Amino acid sequence: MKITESVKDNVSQVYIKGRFDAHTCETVDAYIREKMEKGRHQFVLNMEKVPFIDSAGLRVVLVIARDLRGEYQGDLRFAILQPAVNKVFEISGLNNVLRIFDDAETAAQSFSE
Amino acid sequence: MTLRSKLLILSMILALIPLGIAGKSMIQITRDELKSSANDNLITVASQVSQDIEDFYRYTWLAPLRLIKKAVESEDLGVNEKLSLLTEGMKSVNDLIALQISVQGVKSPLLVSQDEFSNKLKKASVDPVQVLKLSSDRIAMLQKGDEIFIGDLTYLMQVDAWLVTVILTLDKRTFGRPATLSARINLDRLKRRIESHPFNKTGSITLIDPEGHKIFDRDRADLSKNKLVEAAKKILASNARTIGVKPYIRPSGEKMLGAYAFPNILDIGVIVEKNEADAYMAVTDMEWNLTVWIIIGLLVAVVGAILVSVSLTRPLRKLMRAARAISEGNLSIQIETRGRKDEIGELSLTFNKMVDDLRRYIDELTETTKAKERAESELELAKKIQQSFLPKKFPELGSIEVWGKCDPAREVGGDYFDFFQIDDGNCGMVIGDVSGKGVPAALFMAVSRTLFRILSSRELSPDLVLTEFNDRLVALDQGANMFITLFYGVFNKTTGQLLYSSAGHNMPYLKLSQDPGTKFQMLPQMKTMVAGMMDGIPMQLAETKMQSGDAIVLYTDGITEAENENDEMFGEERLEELLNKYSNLSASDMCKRLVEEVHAFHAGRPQLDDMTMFIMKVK
Repeated sequence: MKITESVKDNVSQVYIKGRFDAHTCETVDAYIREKMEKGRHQFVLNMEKVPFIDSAGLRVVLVIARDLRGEYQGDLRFAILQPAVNKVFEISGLNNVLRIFDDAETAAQSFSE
Repeated sequence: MTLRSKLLILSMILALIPLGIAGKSMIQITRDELKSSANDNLITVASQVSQDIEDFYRYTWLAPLRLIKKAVESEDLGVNEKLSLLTEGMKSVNDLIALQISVQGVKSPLLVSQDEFSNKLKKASVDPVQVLKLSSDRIAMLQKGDEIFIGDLTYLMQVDAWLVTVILTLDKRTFGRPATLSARINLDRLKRRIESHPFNKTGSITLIDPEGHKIFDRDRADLSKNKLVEAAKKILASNARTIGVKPYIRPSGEKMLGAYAFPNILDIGVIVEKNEADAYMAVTDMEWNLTVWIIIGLLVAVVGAILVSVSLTRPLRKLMRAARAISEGNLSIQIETRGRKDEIGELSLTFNKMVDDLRRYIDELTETTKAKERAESELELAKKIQQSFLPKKFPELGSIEVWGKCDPAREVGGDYFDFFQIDDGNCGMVIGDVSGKGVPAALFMAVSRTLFRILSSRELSPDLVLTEFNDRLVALDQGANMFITLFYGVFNKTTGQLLYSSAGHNMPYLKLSQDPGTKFQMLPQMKTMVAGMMDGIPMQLAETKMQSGDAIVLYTDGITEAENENDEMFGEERLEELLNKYSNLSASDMCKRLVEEVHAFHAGRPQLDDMTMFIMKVK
């Protein structure tokens, strides 16, 4: 799993590449939590290069989103879900509680609304 | 070959080579030295004997004869006085047995002989005068005009006496014409002197005449064949008087060492000889001595080599034995390290440390293994408990047939299914999947199951049960932030109505046999959310009707997300295909075959997630 970040207008674009499953979800979790501790609270998770997510991955993003919303008035939003990932989001109902966008730009702008 | 033998051989070689070389050259040098001194000794004896003969001649015989000659020549003495002088002179010199004055032209010479010797001759019936008297011709032949002559070695067999003749020329004025004073000398005293020479104890001294005959021997044995005598004879004939020494072999095969020398005044050879072994006795002794010492030295070297190699290899052997003991499991072993400050001592220390470490590691490993075994047995127990949560028997329920199967990826898992009778008409079917796997998932699943059982017994409507279930689960505020997905359906056997709700779970497949094509189809996706994360979410309700020949299949994502070696997922399409393929089988056979198919699909890869399937068929 490869993770990169770019920051624009206080919004952190986190670009991840690879399967988002029980083996890799801790890496993403640790990465985002480190940024959170440095005061960043608005994240866009770019999922363009994520072919698969499992329940462990879902748990990580759900918990991060909940923590950001509850403690920092921030959020974790999603951009460009692959069909398989989108399906998992739908089945689990996460698409009902998490905000998902078709492109990264819109996702980032959504924070300034 | 052991290290000990190698060291032994090396140290022996190191000790033996210099010792051997030193010993060999020492023997060589000493042998040469001793041999030359033995040779010198022989030469010395030979020269000594020659010197003795010369001294006899010069001082014992010639000196008195000169005095007598002087007296005879003296003008002051009368004839009678001269005659008594001859007689007295003869008495004073023991060896002198006859004195004779011959004057040219006088027919009978004056002869005085020693009484003792004359008597001896007479006893042997020999006329002394005839034997002792020298004719004028003989004197002239012997003297050859020389002033002094010595020679004419004669053996008187009858009395066993060896004589030499000394002739001195007298002053012409004495008798007015040429005259000589001749003396016959008995060599008996010389013979005895030579015979008593200390050399005779170990060797022999022989005198030979120019013909190579033995002097002082009754038989006058011819020794010419003796190589040494042959050499001496040649020298005598050549008038050169060199001294020599040489080893030779007697005809008897005896090895001899001999030397020869010649008195200047007489034509005789002095031969001294010795058995070579005797002559070189000192050499043999020395060789024997040295050999003994070299052997002792070698023994000492060998013992030293053994000591060195043993002392070097003993600690190594100890280490080896200790290592063997360790390999057999004895870790209480320790090696004595005191008193050794060298590499071997250090090795022993390191070895002891290694044993300590090894013991500690093994202790730790034993502890860990015990803990692991404990954990494993606990897991085994947990597995049994968890298995007891799942229905194992599916009783005949008249119009419906059900079967379910749960294969956890590890000993315990987070998948869960249940089928239960709510009341006479209604049955509940539920399938759940806790996020994550293993013990935490199993614990969460146990809590969820208990909670769900309570709630489902109180309330009939699936959506209300799930909504309440979600709220209660969130209220537990479990720190692990785990969630569970659930599908819950309530089937009325009388009416065939199926009421259902989902909390983020995969939608089941349904086959309605009344439909044309009669294929399995996934129930439509509904608005939903996993349970245990956020409260206050109202779950949705949906319904369908099932009639005879219809079937519903509940499953977890462990089935659809199983992966093969090519990273391909089992997927919904494949599941659908197989559901249709096996749709005619009984619920239990269908369930078993499907799970088998999934296992066959991911063969070669470990099972990543728990797999659960539940099938209900309406007869």
